[in-house]
Amino acid sequence: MISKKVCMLGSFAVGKTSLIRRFIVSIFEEKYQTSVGVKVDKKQITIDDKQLNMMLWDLAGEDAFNTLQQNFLRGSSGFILVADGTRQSSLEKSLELYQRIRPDYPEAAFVLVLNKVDLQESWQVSDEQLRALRADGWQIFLTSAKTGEQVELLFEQLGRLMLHQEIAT
Amino acid sequence: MKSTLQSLFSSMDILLLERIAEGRFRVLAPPPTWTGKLTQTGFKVGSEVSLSEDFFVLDTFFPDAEDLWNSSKEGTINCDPWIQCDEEGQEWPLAARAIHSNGKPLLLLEHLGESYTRQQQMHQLARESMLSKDELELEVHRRTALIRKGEEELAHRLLDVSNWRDEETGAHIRRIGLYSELMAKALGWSLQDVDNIRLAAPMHDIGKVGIPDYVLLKPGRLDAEERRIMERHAYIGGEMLKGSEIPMIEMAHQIAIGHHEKWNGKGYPNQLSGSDIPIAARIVAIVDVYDALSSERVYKPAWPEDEVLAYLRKERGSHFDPELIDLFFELLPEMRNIRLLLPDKKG
Repeated sequence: MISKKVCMLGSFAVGKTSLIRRFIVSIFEEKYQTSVGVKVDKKQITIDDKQLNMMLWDLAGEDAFNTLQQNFLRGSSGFILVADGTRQSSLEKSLELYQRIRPDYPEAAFVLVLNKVDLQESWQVSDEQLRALRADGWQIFLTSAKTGEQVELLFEQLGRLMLHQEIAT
Repeated sequence: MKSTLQSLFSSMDILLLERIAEGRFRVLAPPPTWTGKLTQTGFKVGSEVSLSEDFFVLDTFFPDAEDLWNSSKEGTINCDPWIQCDEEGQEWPLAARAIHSNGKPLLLLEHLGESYTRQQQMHQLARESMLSKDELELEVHRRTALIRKGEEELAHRLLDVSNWRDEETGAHIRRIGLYSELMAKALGWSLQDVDNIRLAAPMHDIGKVGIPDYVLLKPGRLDAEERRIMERHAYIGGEMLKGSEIPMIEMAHQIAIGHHEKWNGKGYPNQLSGSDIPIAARIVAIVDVYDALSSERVYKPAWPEDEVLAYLRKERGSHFDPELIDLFFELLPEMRNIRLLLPDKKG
């Protein structure tokens, strides 16, 4: 079986842990519980008849109190940059992290997630911004860890991207 | 002494190891009980172990640790905490520290226990406070937008009143706002002021509500007395809008009273000259003349564009602010686009 390491990155309280919980155990908890350090979960999925073991590294969000530990990223094949669509600043943080990380992982697959799409009345990211990001080549998923919207699709698509990368290299 | 240290490490929930080769370690002190939960083989004092299988997170730390252990310098580096689950699903917060001391390469694995919970609580509080601040800012933003919407509605209603009797079209009014916005952006104004002039400029002729029908609606040329009456619209507009604390309305006041002033001081109603005329009014003076001459009116046909532009050039430094006229010509292609996108309706 092919095994791939995926890192979930982003600002704090954007829903990284919740997305993983929704994906692995189909559970969502409303209360925000901050992460410290890293936690690794695993899930096997089937993509186009191939078994893929995803090692999901849930890294604590970066903020004034916590800097991303670059050593945890070693060996990653995929990155999920998570932003909270109701906090513009979290999208900026994700894009900043991408600029910082990309040079060290030129072969890795990157996708961008705008989570909390269920909170439409507080949504801050404009369609224009999304169009510009997509024009820049970003694969973007509008997810909700609460309702499960696009969560399976996100991990499936990233898995597919990583498998394609493997064939290409 | 050695056994005292060993007991100390054990009582502190720390697994003490010595690096003997790359990826191989020797257990130096009695292993804490949690190692039995998290390792398949269990550790004993003196046994040689590989940590990669049971503590795979450490594989991301070892390259840095190896650099330290293989160097001649003494020191310590830390690996951030990670959560490891045992077979029953219980979570164990761990941290690692690589030490190079007295030529000995050591590795400490520590169960953080309560100190992890305390650290988590501290981060939780700090982040919740930052989230509240974000939410507060968002609320301020929402409310400001609501006030802004109110101002815009007020501006549109005032315009409806002024257009009630006037021959000038809605398209002309909107174009004046957009031309002015374009010039303000090019001048590097703040977003707020750019927004203000877009809303305020269309109110430049609002004082025409105070002009009698026989003058305002006269299809032919005005005589001297009628022209004097008509010119009062700038003063009336200024009076209507003066004294507001809303920045957009204050700008509309400056524009209404000042858009017929001339750079050379020969305009009306106050014969202001040069930079004594508020810049918003100087901008509208240019775009109003450009649009009015380019458009058909009941009393005149539209002028050909070359004649309009020749007139604007001729009035550079007399009627119009010379620097703003230069800027207008730089922006001419975009001005033309606005005219194309918002044409006057025929009939």
